[in-house]
Amino acid sequence: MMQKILKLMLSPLVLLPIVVLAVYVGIKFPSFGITLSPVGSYYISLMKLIVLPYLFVTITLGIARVASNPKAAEYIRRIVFTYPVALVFVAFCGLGMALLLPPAGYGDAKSMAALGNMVNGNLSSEHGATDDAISLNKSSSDVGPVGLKILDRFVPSNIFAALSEGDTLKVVIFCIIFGAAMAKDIDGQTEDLFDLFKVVQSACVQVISWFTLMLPFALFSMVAAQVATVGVGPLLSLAPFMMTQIGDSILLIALSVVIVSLRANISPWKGAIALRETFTLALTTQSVVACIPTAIREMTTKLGFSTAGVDLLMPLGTTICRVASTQYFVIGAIFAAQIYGIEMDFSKYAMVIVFSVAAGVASSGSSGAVTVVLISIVLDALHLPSEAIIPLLIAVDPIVTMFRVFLLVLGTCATTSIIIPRSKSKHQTVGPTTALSAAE
Amino acid sequence: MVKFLAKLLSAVLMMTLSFWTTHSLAQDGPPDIVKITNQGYIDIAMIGSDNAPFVSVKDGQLVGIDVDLAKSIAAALGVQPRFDRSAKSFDDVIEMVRDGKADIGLSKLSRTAARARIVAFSNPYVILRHALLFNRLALAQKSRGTDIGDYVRNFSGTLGVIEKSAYATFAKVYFPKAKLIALKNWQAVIDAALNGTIDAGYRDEFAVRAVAFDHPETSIDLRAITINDARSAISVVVAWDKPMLLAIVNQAIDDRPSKMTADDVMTMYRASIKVEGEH
Repeated sequence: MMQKILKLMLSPLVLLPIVVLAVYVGIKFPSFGITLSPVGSYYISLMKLIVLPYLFVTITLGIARVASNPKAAEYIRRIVFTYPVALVFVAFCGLGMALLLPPAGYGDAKSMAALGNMVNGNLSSEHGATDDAISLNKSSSDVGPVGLKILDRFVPSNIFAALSEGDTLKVVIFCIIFGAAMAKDIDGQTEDLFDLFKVVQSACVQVISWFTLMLPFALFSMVAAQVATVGVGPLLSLAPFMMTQIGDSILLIALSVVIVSLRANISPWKGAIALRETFTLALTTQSVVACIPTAIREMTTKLGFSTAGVDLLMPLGTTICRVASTQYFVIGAIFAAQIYGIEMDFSKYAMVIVFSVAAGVASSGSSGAVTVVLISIVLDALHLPSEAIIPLLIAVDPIVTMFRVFLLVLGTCATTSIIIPRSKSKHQTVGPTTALSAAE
Repeated sequence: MVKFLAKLLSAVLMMTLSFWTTHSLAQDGPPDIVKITNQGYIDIAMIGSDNAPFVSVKDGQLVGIDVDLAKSIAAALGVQPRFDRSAKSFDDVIEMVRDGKADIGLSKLSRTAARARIVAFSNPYVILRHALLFNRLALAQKSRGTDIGDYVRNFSGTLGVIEKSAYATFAKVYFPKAKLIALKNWQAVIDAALNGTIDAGYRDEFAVRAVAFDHPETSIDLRAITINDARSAISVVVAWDKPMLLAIVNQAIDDRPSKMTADDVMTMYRASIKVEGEH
């Protein structure tokens, strides 16, 4: 019964009209749209509430299972190979798409004025404040070495602080260390703990499915609030940039579905159907962690990938293999270069690729505006004015972030399917179709 | 009889005395004031080009902060204001006052040491911080990730200023390493910053902010940076040998209800543009 209601709630026939209605409300009644925004954030909060404990037990179990597997070294080798290749690959895809569909478009005077107002913050401030104020009588400021600061984000010092701040990256790193230790099976009693973790895990999944009943309402309020906040002006003047972003995302998502389906030995169409709920959640919740439980369930029960691998690789991949951010940074950098009419040559393109991958790695565990701001790593390297580009990107980010989350979740499904040894997935399940019917 | 004579004498004496006193006040009062009150008007030099919200022509009428202040000075003297807008540059206004062609000069004039050697300045009626209007791309490329504050403090690029303006003088003091380029007017400075022939334009925060307001499309290419500790005291100019007139000007300024800031000026500017737009 519960499953049937869930299925109905998440069916495109229910969700699509809701999105259309929400966009309409957001445009026509922006003030009402904005008042709805808490409903959406309550939903995300509830999801996050349960997702962190879920992630904690899932990753720890996943790493413990992988580490106790005799083929652990093979896993690590595959991860170390696949993640960088995936990042460089999406960077090139982003570049190709940006050259095909110029993200800056052919700015006319009116849209340039709209962009200028966004940069200037005139839309919100009364006087049109100047960007910066400095003092002439001041000794030179000391700036410490920046290079190692990126690493700060990777090194956990307090697991409870990391959990309470929702710092996914540090939680993942702690779980990897803890899970690896559990795999050693110190007193031969680790199995008991594993069983406990499994109970916690399935309880979490149960809670998540309850919360999912809220999704249609949350979706309506989130979309309406977002459209109302962004407004139509920025959407129009930054339309070319959004088209390039969304186009590239859709292309890569399609490619991800094909890869996953090939690895699961089914047709891409069946693969897409199997990942249906993940699709819906990824496109609507804008929260990667909220999608992980569903993605794991569909990857294991419907597509038949091994639980141990998926449990580990879905959270790990979405946290450190930031394919979506990397392609986003590439397109954003080309957008900036086109806005400022910079002549791009081979060395500059190479810089865009290298620094976008670096910024992608630096964006591990971040989301939303924090991710957008990291584009300054690429722009500073190219000596482009990041302080003017970032407000533009943030103005349309509520829309673009939907596709970033979508791509990150599906892209991680693809890298996960590549890393998990094929033979094992075949061996463990009877077949995707049987698994599918078994789940329902 | 003697009594009567004494009375007559004292009356005559009183009359002469009183006549003499009033006569001497009119005749020998402060000459700078007497000249103006006798002629019934005060000559006010103002720059010929419009500079809203300080001075501009609207419906054939002169309006603005400077015009209002000039009128209140004239009212304090009990005479009519007579505006002379033949000055082509800000320094021309100063020279007209120095040469006695005008009694006072108002044109959003900043006090500088060089100007203070030839004319007297009133108390400031507006205080504006200095500001730079950078070409964003040039700034990003030349600052190369160093702190923007450090880069501006040691600015050694090309700096555009309006020729014969206070900022041509300020630039030498505050940005001694910069290469100065004097341009005809503010629009020429903005254009040069836009096309990158100069790295930055230099003027007060109000003028710099107004660029983003008037031409939002330029905000992509131009970046405003305000300097907290360099300020222009916008004052009225009076000839050095007219101390009483200067005192009256100061009194008119002090009698204003409040001191104006860049925000007030900007608000007035937006209001004046809005009204024009509605016409």
